[in-house]
Amino acid sequence: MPGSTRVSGGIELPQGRALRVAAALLLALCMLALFAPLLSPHAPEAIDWSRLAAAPGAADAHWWGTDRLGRDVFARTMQGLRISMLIGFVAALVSVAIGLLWGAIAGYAGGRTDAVMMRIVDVLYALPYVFLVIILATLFERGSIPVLLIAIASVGWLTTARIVRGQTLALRQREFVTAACAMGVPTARILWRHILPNVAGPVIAYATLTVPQMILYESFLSFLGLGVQEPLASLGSLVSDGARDMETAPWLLLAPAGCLVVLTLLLNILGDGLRDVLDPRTRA
Amino acid sequence: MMRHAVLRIIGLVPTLLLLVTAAFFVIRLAPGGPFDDERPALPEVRANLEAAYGLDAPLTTQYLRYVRGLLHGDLGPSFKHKDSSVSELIGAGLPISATLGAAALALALLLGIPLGVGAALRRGSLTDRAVALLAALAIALPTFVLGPLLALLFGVRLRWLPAAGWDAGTLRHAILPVVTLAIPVLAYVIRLTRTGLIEVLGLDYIRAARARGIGMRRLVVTHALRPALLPLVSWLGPATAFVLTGSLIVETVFSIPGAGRFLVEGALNRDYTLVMGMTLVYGTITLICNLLADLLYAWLDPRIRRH
Repeated sequence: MPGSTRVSGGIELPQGRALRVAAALLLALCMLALFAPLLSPHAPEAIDWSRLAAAPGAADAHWWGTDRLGRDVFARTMQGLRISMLIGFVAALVSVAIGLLWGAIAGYAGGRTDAVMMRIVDVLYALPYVFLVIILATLFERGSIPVLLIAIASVGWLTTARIVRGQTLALRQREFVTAACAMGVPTARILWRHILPNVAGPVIAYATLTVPQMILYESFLSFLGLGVQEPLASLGSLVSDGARDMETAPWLLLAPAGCLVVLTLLLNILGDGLRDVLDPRTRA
Repeated sequence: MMRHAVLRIIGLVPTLLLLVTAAFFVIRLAPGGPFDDERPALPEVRANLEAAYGLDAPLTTQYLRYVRGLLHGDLGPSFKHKDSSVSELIGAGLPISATLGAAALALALLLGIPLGVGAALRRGSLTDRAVALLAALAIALPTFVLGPLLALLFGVRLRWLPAAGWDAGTLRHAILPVVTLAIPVLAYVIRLTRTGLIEVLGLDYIRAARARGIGMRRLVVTHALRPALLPLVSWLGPATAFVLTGSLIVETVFSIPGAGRFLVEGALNRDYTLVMGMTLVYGTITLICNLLADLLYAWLDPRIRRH
């Protein structure tokens, strides 16, 4: 969720197993979302006039029921899952790339450049950044997925930048970097060949943790009606629609809400596990 | 320490100015204006409206005018709520939002610290695992899922509590929104307290104290808790932003007449001054809470206090 800081010390299961179970389940969920159109005879936007707001398990393969307009809840939730995942992954990729570049430059340059760049990160951290994201998301064409991606990715890079900067700062002092420097290797090449591979571990782990955050940001905006627009749906917009009808048709809320919670929980477990494996500092 | 605090307070001014400037230009660069979706007004009427609100001046002039207004404590008139100024609108909603946020934060801290301490002392036990699992689940449960689910369960199905409404903040109406807002914060408080305490309990001075025969209870209360809570205290700053963001959702879910809705509504309607006012007010609150958390941290940590 917005403004969150990662905290170490989650579930203390035997890490290897939790990691593998989470990864397997996540893969299964991805497969389900991708192949749902083959499983279900219904298209997400197809309207079944004979079954409006039908309860789950109803005949005609509406396994999760239908919504007020007679659209199949399973098909729509799976579509929402696909869109949420897509936005989450792409936004995480973009924000991690920005953070990587920002942190590596600040850490490697050091001195005044570093001070100014990290001061900017500090200021942005302290701001209710989500507010600017909301403003961004409302201002341009509503429901446009690229705008949504930019708005969301602009929040996620701060923590990556801090992690990368700290690591780079330490790496800069190491002999192999000094040696490369002394041999006249250009800075860009040092960053690429010597710094990047060494910060990759923690960055990959953090990137995995960024994905659920991005998914939650997107759902947050969609819940407020600022994100993905009809007839497309994301998990957030489905939760928002479902909450409106929860008194008469609770399955409209429960299906997307359940998917969202399972998805973010699995991604968090995976990220925590990867961090323990890839980032030796957090290993107890 | 005093000098440090004063310097930090002065340091808030440029940050706020940056926030105001960024928000002002981002919102103005976007297409559309506050008088777009009214009944198609005659061009002359529209020009008069824009002149009346000063929208016909160059952007930099408008910006300077706005900042000058701010220095006099004037957030300007709302473009959409025709009879109200931005200060009046936010002033009416803010006490409700603040009550909600403060209650949630207090609840999370009062429950979370003891639970975190308990889990840390019984590390690896069933209780510890259960608490850790609940905390992981609570972090994966975003406010906009949790709120409707709680309203569905306790408001619609069981009918114990009202599913929506505020009713001037009666306890019955406040319970569900406050709990919804508090649960994710509670999860973080538990995790931070637990890891903090486990780390401190492994330090040499604690083991030395134990060797001298100091009881566990006294050890935790007088020696371990204060340093163990430092990570939690440094999280309290970001936690404010977290709670403010969450309150936007909670106010929407439970139809609470707080200030949060003005942000989304204002941005959608291009009600420039209202959005600016909200950004400024919530930004100031966040920055002040960040500052308070930092000062509290410095006060609790003697290594920093000395400087």
